[in-house]
Amino acid sequence: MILNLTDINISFGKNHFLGPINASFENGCLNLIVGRSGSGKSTLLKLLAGFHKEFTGSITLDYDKFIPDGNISLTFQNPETIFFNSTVFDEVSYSLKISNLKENEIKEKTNKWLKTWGLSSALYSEKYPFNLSGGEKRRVALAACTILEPKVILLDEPLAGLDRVGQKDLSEIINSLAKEHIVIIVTHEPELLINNNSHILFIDGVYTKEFNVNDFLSKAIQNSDFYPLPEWYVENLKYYVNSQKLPIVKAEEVANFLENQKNK
Amino acid sequence: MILFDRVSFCYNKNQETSFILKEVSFSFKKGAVNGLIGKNGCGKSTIARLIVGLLEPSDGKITITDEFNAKPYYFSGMIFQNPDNQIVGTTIGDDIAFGLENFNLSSDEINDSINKAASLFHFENMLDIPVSKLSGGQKQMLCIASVIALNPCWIVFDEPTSHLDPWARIEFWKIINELVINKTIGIIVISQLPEDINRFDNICVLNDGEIYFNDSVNKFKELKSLPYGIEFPEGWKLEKLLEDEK
Repeated sequence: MILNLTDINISFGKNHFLGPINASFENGCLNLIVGRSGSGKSTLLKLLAGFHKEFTGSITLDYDKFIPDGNISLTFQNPETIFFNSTVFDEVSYSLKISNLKENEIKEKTNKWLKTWGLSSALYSEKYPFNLSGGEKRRVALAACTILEPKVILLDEPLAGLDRVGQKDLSEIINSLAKEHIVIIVTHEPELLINNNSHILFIDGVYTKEFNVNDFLSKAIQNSDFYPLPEWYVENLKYYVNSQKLPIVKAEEVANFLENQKNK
Repeated sequence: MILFDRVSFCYNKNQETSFILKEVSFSFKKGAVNGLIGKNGCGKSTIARLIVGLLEPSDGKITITDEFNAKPYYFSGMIFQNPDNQIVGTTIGDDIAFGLENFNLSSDEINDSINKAASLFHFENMLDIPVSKLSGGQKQMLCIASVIALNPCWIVFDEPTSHLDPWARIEFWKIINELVINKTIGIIVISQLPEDINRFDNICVLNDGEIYFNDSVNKFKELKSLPYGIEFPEGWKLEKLLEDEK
C-alpha cells in the first residue's frame, strides 16, 4: 500500500502555513514525521485524518483518491487521558460496539486485538484503565484507537512520557503493525523508532524533505542545527559521515560499527 | 533544602497494600540538578505533589527551608507532565499573569515579571497569541515560564522534556543550568529519559515506593544493576562497550 501526497499546501484562513509537501508513505516501514514544535507535524496528521480541510493538492491511496472515511485512525498525544469506559475490555471494544457487531464477534476481535498489543485478555479485560501503569495505559489507548484496523494509522508522539521498558514494548508492537498498515508517526524521538528501513519526512519552516535513515543521520551528524542527535553519537561518528551504512542511535550498533571500521 | 523524614503516603489509609511511599527519607539541595527517576507508577509524581503541598503525607515530615530567597512569593512550584492540565489563561500573556495576579502585586510589578519570564522563553512578541494556537512543546515552555514568573524557591519538573522537540530540550537544559548556577531556584527534575540522566548532578532512584539509590551521578554510574524499568543512557553503555573491547 502506498499513500501519496502531491503538492499539498496547508493554510489557516488566508495564511499559507506549510507546503508544498510531496511525500509518499508505505507499509512495511515506519514513516516518521520530524520537525520543530509548531512546525505543522500534528496539523499534517489532522489533514490526513480529514479534520483540517484548508489545503490544496491531492492525496491518493494506491493511486485512487484518498477520502479519510473509515480507513484511517488518528491517535492524539497522551490518548490515555480521555478514557471513558470502566474496564479495559469496554474501552478497547467501544468502536466495535457502535459498529453494531454481534457480541461474540466483538469478544473474539477484542481479545485478539488486546493480545496484539501485549495485553492478554485474561489479565487485563476486567481491569480499570486508570489503575494500569503508564505503558499499559498507552497500549490500551492505542489498541482502542486502532481496533477497526484501518489501512492508515496515524500516531502523535506515541512514546512520549513512557519509561524505557514501556517505550521498547510499544515500539516493537508498532513495528509489527507497520507490516500490514501504513503507520505514520509524529515524533520528537526518532532515534527510538528508527530502524534501517524507516522513512523520514523532515519539516523545516514551510519546506519539507524526505530522507532515508542514512542520509538523515549523516546530515544530522554534520549539522546539529538541522537535527540535534545525542552528543555521544555525534562525537563517535563524526569521522564516518560519508559511510553508506551508519549505525542507528543505539550503543550496541555503534560499538559494532566502530569495531568494523577499526578492522578495515 | 527539602528534607523528607520517614515520609509515607498511601491513597487509602485502611489498606496496607496501597502504599505509594514507604517511610522514605532523603534530601534535595539547591545549587545542583536533582534528578528523580523510576519506572512508571513508582511514586515519582507523588513525591512531586507532596513537595508542592497538593498532597499531605500519611506519616512522617517534609521540611522545606530556603537559605537564598529572602522573600519569595511562595515556596515551590510544579510543572505537570501534561501542559494542558496547567494552562489557565486564554493568551500567553494571560497565562503568565494568572499566578502573579493572585499575589496582589501592582500592575507594574506584574508586567515586569511577565516580560522577564516571557523573554527567557522567547515569548516576548507572542503575548497576545491564544494558547490554543500553541503546539505541545510551546505549551510546555509556557507552563515553565508561568511558574518561573512567580519566582518560587523550588520548582519540581514532572517529565518536562517529554513533549519538547530536541532543539527545545537543549534550550530547556540551558535555562535549568542558569537557574542552578544562580542558585535562585532549587531544581528537581523527574524524568524517564535515560538521556536526561546525563544532565543530573544528583540522582534519587525510586523503586516500588522505596529509595533504591540517592547519591551523585558518578556513584550512580558505578552501579552494577538497576531496578526493572530503568536504564543507563546509551552514551554510557557505549563507553562501557568500548572499554570492554580494550
